[in-house]
Amino acid sequence: MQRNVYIFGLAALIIALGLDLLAGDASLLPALLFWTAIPQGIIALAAAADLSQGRWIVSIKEKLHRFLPLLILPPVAFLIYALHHTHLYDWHEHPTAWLEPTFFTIRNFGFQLLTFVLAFLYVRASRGESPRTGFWAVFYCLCFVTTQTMQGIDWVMSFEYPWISTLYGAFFFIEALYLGVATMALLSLLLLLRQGRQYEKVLRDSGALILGFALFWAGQLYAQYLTIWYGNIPDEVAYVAKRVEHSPWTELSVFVVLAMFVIPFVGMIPRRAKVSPALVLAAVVLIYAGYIVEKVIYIAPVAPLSPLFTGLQFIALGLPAAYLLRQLIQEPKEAKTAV
Amino acid sequence: MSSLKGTFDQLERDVLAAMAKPKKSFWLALAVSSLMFAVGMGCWGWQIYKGLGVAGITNPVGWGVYITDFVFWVGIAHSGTLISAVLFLFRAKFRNSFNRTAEAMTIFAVMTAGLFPLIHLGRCWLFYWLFPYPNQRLLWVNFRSPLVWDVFAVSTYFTVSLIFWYVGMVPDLAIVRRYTTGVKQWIFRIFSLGWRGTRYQWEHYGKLYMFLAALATPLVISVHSVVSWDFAMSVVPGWHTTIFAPYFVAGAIFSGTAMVITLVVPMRRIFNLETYITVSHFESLAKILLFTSMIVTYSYIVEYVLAFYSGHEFEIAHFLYRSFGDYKYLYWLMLLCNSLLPLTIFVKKLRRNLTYLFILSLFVNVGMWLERFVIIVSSLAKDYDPYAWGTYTPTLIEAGITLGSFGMFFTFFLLFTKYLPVLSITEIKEISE
Amino acid sequence: MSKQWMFDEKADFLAKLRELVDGGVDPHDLETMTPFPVHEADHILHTRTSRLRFFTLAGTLTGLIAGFAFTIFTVMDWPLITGGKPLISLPPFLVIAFELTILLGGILSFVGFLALARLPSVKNVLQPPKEYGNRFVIQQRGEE
Repeated sequence: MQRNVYIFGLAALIIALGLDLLAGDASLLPALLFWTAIPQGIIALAAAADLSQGRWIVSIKEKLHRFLPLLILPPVAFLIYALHHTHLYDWHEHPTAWLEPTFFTIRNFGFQLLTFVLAFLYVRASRGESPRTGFWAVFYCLCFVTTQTMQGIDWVMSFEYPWISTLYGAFFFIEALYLGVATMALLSLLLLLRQGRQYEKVLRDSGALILGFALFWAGQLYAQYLTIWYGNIPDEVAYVAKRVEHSPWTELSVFVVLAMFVIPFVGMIPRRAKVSPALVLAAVVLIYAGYIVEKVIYIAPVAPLSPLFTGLQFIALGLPAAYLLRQLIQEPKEAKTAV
Repeated sequence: MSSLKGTFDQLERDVLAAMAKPKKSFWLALAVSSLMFAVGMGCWGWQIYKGLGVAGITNPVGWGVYITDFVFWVGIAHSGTLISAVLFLFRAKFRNSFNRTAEAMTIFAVMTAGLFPLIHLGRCWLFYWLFPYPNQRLLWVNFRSPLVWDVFAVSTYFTVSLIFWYVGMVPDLAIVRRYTTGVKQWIFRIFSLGWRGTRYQWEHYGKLYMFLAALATPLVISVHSVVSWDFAMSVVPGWHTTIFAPYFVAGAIFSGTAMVITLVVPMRRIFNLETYITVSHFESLAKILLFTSMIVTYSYIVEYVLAFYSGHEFEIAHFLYRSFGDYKYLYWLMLLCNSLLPLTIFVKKLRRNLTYLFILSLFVNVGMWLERFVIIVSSLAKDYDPYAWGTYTPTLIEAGITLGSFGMFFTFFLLFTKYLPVLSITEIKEISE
Repeated sequence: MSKQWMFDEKADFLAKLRELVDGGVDPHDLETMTPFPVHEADHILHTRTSRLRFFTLAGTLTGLIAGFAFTIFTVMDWPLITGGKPLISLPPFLVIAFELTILLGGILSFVGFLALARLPSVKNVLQPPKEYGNRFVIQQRGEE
């Protein structure tokens, strides 16, 4: 059963490679960012809960740990991307000490791999209730933060080198946690529908966390926007102007704010909404869509990106996750009574 | 096992014992802090009499110790709200040992902070110009100015924190009412609003507390974000950077948590509250300290690294100046206090040692004050035009007013421990059953 | 005639409460006084969920709208461009609107609480209510 996840993962990688060769543009990147953020965010949530001795997560923690195998995918998929596509970046022609194709590939591959290794060590410790759990959880979290920061700065922000926003990297790990929370909501929702009311509490908490993260996400986006808008430095503003002043980017930007902030936030305010399957599902789908569209907005104005292949890559890399999710909700009930 | 009532009676006696006739050490502490307060007020009076020239701030460094103090005290306030509101929403039980003192600290710190813009104004009697009110000149305040955002953010913060603190205290005031007589009882009668603890009162009360917590949580994040935007909105190297908002918020909670430790460790010992505020509770606080220290360190690294990554010459020059220029010792001391020393909390033995935590918290307080000073002064001292460069050294008056602000804060805090219940009796009852 | 029971333990209190309700006493005739909120008692007595949320909602919405309305009004009242920014600069106005959302939300929640919980109770301030210490009390209003 666990093996099938790996088989799906391998299939996903082969399809992604094929699609990538066909497309020849950056269309692997949004899907890669998404399917990296989800398992990393989920394991980070479990680790954070272990560190803060949060009891709210107990009933579902074992299932969150099961996302671990999905973390093997990002390093390999990143190699597929990096080996083909560093020429999409302007700095490819004029490398700097930091932005240089070989170093770029090695350091990011290394961080992705390290994240997997630390996640593995953490999950093993946590499952065995080892006293080292906290130790590995801390290291995993540190590595998660660094890896996501690097994804933000290296993979995406460097398309616009030398433009910088110091919050960019942090924004990526906040988003990864947000996606993790959304996925946890989705998982507990499906479990609630399949296996009964013992998951209602987790779902309620996940709904509340979506509410919180929606606002927090908006705050961080606004912090970047406001600073750049107010400073009004031509070099800096150009980045934003490119993405909000012309169709279709204007509309898509509005969509992102609606999908990741306004709708989930307003939708999750009422008490009953947090356990309403339709509303939670809508919020989760919107958050997912918002994340992908947001990344497209970052990349598409400066690098070739075909919408069709972006979608296909998203589905391809999602295969093992979809399989895993199906497994998790179909399992016999005994797993959670042990908790 | 004694009955629930017996346990509760004991709890009330233990907590309210602090309100009985205080020890000599209390009077001594009060005398020292009110003397400091008086010195500060005296310095301010002198500044009003002589003019702002008695302070060291001048071109190009127009923001100095006063603005540093302002940011420092607003920051101190933040962990009060974190402990009372955020941890409430996360249902962390250890908050009950600290929330009352932390909230009191919030109130007093915001009051102290609120004075500094006035001190910095020079003609402080015109402070009301900051508020939008209809006037003969038909002028309104400039809502595009971050300084006006500050007025709104800080006054909202003060009001909501005050409501939150008071609401949390109403059932406890009703308890004190039972233990007092005469005029004192009258005061508590009035402020406990005739609370009886009926089921509908509790129901509304519970909802109110939750809503206030839910409102205070985004508020606390917004307040220090707004404070950070006082800097980030301007086009000054080292200030104009997007990470400032979350970085300042984390720094605020970091310094505030340190201040809670600084205040509660001695308070616990003086009032014999060891049963209710345990070492494990402090351990949880220490973890918050560590966590926020790491966010602050992350921000230091990202700011620095991205300056070099972008190749932006002014940013690079600024960060080199910050670490190797006129204020280099303060900068490295700040790194030691904020980034390195807190890492020792990883050692379980150290984070469970209250004396160690107390000393560490003092270092963090110093470090966070220095952080604001370094950010504010080093950016202003050297911006773009070498012709306009200059350095800044605080004067004795500025030092005196800073000392006075600590005096004011501690005076209020000591009076609080004497006149109000220092632990949330009701909430401890709720979790102890 | 009103009856009254006092308990030192929460369990005894709840048991008696359940007995009374099961025995056919209308929960509206029962008043409880406890040293801290007892949610089990609310379940037994079917205490209505507080309507405080409407106050909070009204406060936050008023604050949000007022924040934008007021800032926009002031720049239209005396159009004065500062810092090369447009007159109606929504990004900075959002800060004011946000703060007012929280401020009015907080104040109105507090006012709503006072109104709903009938506080301050002048009667109880002037003449302190009978104190029950840390006991759990049930009062049954007499049937006239």
